[in-house]
Amino acid sequence: MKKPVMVVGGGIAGIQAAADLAEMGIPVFLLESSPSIGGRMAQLDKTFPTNDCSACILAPKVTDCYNHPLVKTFTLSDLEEVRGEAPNFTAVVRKRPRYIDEEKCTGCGDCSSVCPVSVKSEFDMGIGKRKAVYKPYAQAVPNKAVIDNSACRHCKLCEKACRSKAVCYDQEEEVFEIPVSAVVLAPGYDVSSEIPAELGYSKYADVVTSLEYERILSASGPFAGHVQRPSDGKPPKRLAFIQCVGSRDHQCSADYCSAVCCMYAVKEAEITKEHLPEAEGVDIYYMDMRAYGKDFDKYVDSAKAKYGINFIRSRVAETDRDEATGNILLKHADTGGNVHKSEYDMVVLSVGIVPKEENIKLCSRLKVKTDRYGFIWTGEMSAPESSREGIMACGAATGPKDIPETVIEASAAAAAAAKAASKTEVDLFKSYPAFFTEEPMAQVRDVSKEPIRAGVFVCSCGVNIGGYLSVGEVVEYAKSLPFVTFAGEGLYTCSVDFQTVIIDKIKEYGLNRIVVASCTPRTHEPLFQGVLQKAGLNPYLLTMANIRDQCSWVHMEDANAATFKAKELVRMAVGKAVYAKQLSKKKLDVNKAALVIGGGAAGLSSALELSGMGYSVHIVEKTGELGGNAKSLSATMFGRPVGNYLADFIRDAAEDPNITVHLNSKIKDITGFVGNFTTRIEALGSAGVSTEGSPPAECTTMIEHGVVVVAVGASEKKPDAYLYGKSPNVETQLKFEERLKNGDSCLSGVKDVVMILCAGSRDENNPYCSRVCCNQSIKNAIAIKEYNSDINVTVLYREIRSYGLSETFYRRARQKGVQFVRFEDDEKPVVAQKEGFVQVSAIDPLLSRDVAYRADLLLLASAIEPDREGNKTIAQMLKVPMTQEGFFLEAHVKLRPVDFATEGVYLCGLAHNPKNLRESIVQGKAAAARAGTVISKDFIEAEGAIAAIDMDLCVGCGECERVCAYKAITLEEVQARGKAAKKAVLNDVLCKGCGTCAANCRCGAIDVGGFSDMQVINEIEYLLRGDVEAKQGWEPKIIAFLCNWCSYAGADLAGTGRMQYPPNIRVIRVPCSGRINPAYIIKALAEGADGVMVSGCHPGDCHYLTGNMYARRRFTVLKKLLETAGIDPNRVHFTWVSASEGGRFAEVVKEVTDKVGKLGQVRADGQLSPPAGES
Amino acid sequence: MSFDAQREKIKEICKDLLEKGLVETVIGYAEGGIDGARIPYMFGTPEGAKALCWDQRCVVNLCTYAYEKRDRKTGVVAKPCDVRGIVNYIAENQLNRENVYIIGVDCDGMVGADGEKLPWCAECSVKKPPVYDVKVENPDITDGESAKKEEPSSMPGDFAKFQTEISKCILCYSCRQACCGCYCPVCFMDRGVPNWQPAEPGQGAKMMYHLGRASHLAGRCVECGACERVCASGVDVRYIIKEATKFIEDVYGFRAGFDTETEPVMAAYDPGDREIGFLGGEKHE
Repeated sequence: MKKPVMVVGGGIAGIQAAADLAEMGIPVFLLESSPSIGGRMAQLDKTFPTNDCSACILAPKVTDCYNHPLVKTFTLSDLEEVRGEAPNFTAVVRKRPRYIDEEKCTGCGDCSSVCPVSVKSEFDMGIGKRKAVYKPYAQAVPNKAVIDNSACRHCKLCEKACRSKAVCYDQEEEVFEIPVSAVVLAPGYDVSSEIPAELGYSKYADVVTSLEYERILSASGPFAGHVQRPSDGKPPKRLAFIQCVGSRDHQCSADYCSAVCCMYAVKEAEITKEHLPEAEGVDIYYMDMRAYGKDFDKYVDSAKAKYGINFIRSRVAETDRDEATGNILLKHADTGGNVHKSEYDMVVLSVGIVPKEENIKLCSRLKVKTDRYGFIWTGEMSAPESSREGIMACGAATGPKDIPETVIEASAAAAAAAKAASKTEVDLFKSYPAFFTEEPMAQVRDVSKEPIRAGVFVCSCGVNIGGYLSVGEVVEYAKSLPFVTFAGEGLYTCSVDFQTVIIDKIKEYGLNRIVVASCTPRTHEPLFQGVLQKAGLNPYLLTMANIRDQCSWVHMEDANAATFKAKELVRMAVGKAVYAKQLSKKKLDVNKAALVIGGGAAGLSSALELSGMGYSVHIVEKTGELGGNAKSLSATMFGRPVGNYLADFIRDAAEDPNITVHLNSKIKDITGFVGNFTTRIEALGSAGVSTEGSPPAECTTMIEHGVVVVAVGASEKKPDAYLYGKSPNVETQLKFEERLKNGDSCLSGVKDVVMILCAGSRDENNPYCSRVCCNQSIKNAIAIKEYNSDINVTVLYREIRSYGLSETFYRRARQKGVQFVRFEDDEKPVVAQKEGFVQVSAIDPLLSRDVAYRADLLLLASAIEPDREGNKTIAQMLKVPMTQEGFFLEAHVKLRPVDFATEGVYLCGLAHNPKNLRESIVQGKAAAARAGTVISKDFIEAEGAIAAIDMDLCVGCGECERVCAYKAITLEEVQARGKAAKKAVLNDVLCKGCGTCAANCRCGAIDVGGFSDMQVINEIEYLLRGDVEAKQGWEPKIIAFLCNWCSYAGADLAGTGRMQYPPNIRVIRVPCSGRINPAYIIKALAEGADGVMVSGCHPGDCHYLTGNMYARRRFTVLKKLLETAGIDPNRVHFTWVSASEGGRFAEVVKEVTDKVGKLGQVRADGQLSPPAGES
Repeated sequence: MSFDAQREKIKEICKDLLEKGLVETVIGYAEGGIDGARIPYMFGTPEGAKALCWDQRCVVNLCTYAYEKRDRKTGVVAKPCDVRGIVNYIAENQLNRENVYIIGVDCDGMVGADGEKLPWCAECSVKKPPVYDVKVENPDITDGESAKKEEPSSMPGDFAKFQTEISKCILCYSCRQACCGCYCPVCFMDRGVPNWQPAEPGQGAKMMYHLGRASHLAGRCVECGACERVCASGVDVRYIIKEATKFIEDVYGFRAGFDTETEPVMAAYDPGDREIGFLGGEKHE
């Protein structure tokens, strides 16, 4: 195995880098200085531009990373020193004491509930409180408590309260010296505390920072998502956002742009409107609206049109408090120069991103360079490498950036670290015995011919279950159930000693179905599956019943009801276990070569990185030269000559023995899937030379490879306005740069230069921002001024989007005398040809008058345009989607910016979205890392709990193919019953097991392992045909189908928050709301369920991308059918609950129970009772 | 044009098709049914066309026979509802478009033995074949307004009616056999594992069947009325599916059987799909 890499920082950057490395087979030490990984993203409510719930999209990534066998996580740890040279570093790690034994702590929270000390919560930005012994937040990973020694009074109440005996006051700091091959720094950022005094932050409680407001908005925050003013708890009616607080400000140390505040303010404004539809006004005070990223402009437009948010271009001078109303007054000037005082109930300051003090100290210890602000320096053309070889840096610690950029950099850092590690070799278990231990593989027993012998283990979880219901009664009851051979209880069934008990009982009784009634499978299923494997059983023979988070914790006042419900949940689990199958993970060979389509900067970067990691790469380039658009660039923003770097890349690629370059080549077709692609390339002529006079010889090459990187680029749109092409005085910025690069004396004799920005972007034809033009124009303006400071340079703009650290160049340009004049979106400049020059007229917004500018040279910042037709051809071959604008559509705009939903295909460069050279190069490396997670493996394993298609039942209607988001099903000609027929064929490796296909299949040809039709039916039948002795009187019995990723998690959150609700629901867990066949609901009603409740992820947030969209239509139509049949609409309910909506889940259950309760009992003979009011 | 004129045209077309060898079999109507209803008639020689008939008693739906003969080139005398059934088969990959020659016949509805228009024909608004290889027109017939516009798009749920109807049902499954949308190799009601049968074999099983079948037909029903026609017990089999069909047209703008290329409505989605009847969503009208 390769020598481990150390990743410093457990935020999204660290998690991504760690996960990528681990998936490439490289062990990782992940260091996090706080008690939990998750970072800033865990603090966010929603993320732009999709308004996804941050916790919902983050949680699966965090758990995958933490649970990965090759990732060893150190929380409360810091990197002290890195000695030596790559790849033979020695990392010195200091681990601070948690004062809690992580092995014993179950995250139950008993300690915090008795702790007498309350202090401000860091996670809630000081608005909420926490105890001295606490969990940082409900979904913390690891889900363990920690003691804040500075706040702790040492009263020892927590020690007494903890039944696991996990409190350890005498824990001490530990220091480890660990050999590693490379280090990835991802230590994150702080928000600016340099808030100008005149904004009243320290004076007025209702002036809050954006991150504080994020906690106020968050359903898991101090106000449970109710937007209210800190001063009096009332919901605000008028809210203002002030942008650029602590950014773009020369009075403070951060004169750069923080790159994310424009977008996050729009997001917070939209969420505010969603929470408070009756809010009278939400206003954003800004200088430039920096909506430069993918779908950002669309987001801002929708904020204006759909949400009615007001955008006021103005810098707020100061805030004041109106003594009479208690409201905040903002003093500001409008674009005409008039001063106003506007009143608001609450003001949010969009504070900027600054480097952490600890990071600056860390870099000093590590001898890694930081820039003048304290951000970690990375080379412009060599990012994410830092100044010290073998140490990479990524994320906001290197400069302000948003989440997609962070994730891209993190993957790029993983690739760079993998390159360093690739030259090493260690025996992991021998060399790192303290951290990685080898699990002995037990002999697996095939139970398929055995009679079912189920074992039920009921957990008391200390007092968390046992204190609220009778565990003994549940055990006795379990013994009476069909197929149950053994039933027993344990104080903590997840503890190491009880795991041994389970293994012993399995052997003693020959158990072949295991039911564990305890906490939530979402945290503990992997643990108990591991126990089954140690006992020699297939892990899928485990079924869990959630009698804690969804029972004892939410029915704390009624032990009888809780016990009764627990018995029924165990009964259901036994029913499900009866049909558990020994699922296996199909293995597929992987071809370790990569295909890169496109030989521009992104493609070259990707290919070189892949080669550096040890893989062979084919680059297919349609022109006769490598280099793409970069060939036209003269210098980077920071003044580096692009040509030199590009020449190096091209030479490296040409000389690299791992890389084969195919010039003048086109892709004819691509077949296959991840790990097993075959591509046919056609080349014109030979070696890019076409012989004069004779038709070009075509030669075909077949390439077999495991992954594809799409780096097909985009090109400059030729402007169709402003006299382009009609006047010798007008050209584009890119052409100008090319001429500068070639030493063309294009500026001799030039006295006046005018530049027009957005000349072809952000209009009806290209309704998006081309991202690079503002910076490119500023760069060219500075170059012109440096050539001859007497040349007048005027830049006409709509917004100046010099985002991030490039803001300083905007200032430099102004200092050099470049004039920046704004024009309104709908009052574009007009260009007229004169004798030897052009006249550009634009309405000056300050003067409200037309002003004419003379231009010897008019430079247009034209748009970056994708090759729609070419992209469509590639998209169809690879079965990947495109955006409306003609670029490619990645799997997830925030967290998977380099992947496609189709596995094995990756995206980088301009083909993804307009971006600058540095960003293209970094994204190319990121694509290499992601591709590396596939081709590093000798074989890829499919998931275990996936779909399976019965050929005899399939009629080939094709609905399953349509609804599969992963393109895992295709209609193909197969032999069935002696005839050739077109049927649905499943690619096991691509299937994620969501079950949307199965629910759509009328013929019942598709079923899903682990959540099969018969398992669901058994859960329904065992519950409703059961003979559990009911308490006196009738209580509604409601079956609740919850999707695993959102609604089930929301239900668990209600549990951790101890939110009480009526004990009438019985949950059936499904992978996705898309899994739910309408027949399940009809069956439940026909069996006598009083009510049925179905809940999934909010549309747009589906973990399986689109499962809930199909479910939504299915449920709408089913509701109509049921109502026409006269079944009371209040019996069946559909809703969406997200993973962070614990409170809402409890409210929904109360509402549904109430409604069903009023309807009365469904009759035992299968007749549904008539609606209330009829006899 | 009267029935006679249409009939002669049909005979001519069918004879021609077989003479030219464009099809192997033709499916049409001939005399000989109970109560004067016409029966399906399949023939493979041009002379066979003489026995064809076409009148108001051609109640049987021939599209299911086109499905049976799907492995050979077949000509079908198709009423508009039959055309829709065939279009559905094509859209669902059960029939090749090239294998069926659609003789689309304008139709103003069929009558029962008592001379009264059949209920499903009285409600029908699709009187002209939407897809065809050759048309047999009747200029007196014009497409009607969709029934949706006459009646409210939703009627209040009537549990008593549902109970009454399904209590008549004897689970003979004739409706399933006659329906052109029901062609699964093994119907869900006949499966052993998974077993959908509820504990109560009477009303419970019937509820499972009728509501389950309705959910399978949602967005696919072509309103041919075969289900009600064949019912041995006089159950109003259609009404729940009919409401769902109107609802789907209303909400998703989709009607089955008009276009062979269109996405089936239940295997598609729109990000703006309405959530009618959801908790906190829109209410039903």
